[in-house]
Amino acid sequence: MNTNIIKTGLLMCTLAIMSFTGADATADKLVGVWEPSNGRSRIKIEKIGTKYYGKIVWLKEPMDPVSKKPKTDKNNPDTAMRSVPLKGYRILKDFVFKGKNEWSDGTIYDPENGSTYNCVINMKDDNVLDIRGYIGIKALGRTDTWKRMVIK
Amino acid sequence: MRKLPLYMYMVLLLFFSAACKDQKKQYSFELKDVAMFAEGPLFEGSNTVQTELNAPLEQFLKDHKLSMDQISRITLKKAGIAVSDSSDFNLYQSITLQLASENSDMMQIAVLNPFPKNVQQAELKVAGEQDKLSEILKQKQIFLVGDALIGADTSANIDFKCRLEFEIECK
Repeated sequence: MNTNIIKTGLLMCTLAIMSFTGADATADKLVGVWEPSNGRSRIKIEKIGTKYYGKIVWLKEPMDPVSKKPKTDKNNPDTAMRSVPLKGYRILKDFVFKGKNEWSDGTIYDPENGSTYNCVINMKDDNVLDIRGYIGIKALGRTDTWKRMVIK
Repeated sequence: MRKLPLYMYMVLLLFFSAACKDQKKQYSFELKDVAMFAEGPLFEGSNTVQTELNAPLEQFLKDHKLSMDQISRITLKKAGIAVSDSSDFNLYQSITLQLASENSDMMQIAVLNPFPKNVQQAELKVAGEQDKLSEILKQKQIFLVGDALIGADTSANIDFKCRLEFEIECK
């Protein structure tokens, strides 16, 4: 009888470990380089700790037309941080995997106006993301479709 | 006996309430020689380097016989980096430092752009808005994240040490 209990315990532990590993693998599908629909930038999403963050790794127009220098975050509400370069800028922050191909609790930053919005990410398939930015409630927002740069 | 005018009572009341108000104490706190390392080769563009800080305030609280609840505000006063042997600062175009943790939002804390040439150490410009800093530093597991913009592909490592000087205000 004791042997049966031990066997059942071991089986349950194995299943638990497998389910955790599976959840991690699904969550990590978000990691990669993505292009927003306007094609003007590319965003690399990576994992830090248990959350996901995305930074600009490529800009179609990297130079500021006025200063002729690499673009910086000139609209940042914090004037001390306006010299942060846009190339490398983390516009997606603090996303948590919620299951069912959804990452939420994060924010998206728009360098064009220096505003930060609540954001939810839905993976339509392995290579397409719906990124919805909103203020307050999800219904009042805008969705953009991002495509993975290296197709899986 | 002559009565005091009403406004005098008000002045006395204000004086006593100000005198009895909790005195806030300020402390200096430093995280020094925080090693930041990412193994090369590195590619042109933004490269991430991160390190984990475990309960950074624990020793400070012990040393000063304080509790976490007594901390009312933390401000980053200075941020500096110093090169290690296997790194080459001349490749850096800029560096941005951020703090992140599981239970709080990521926060930019300092930036250096453009990066000066031929230096072994440099001071970064610290963020002006630091309202979320106390909340992050009170966490047990924190990540210091560096985004180093590099001008060309290189076989060198990202390898430097950070120094962060804070002012902690306690009740």
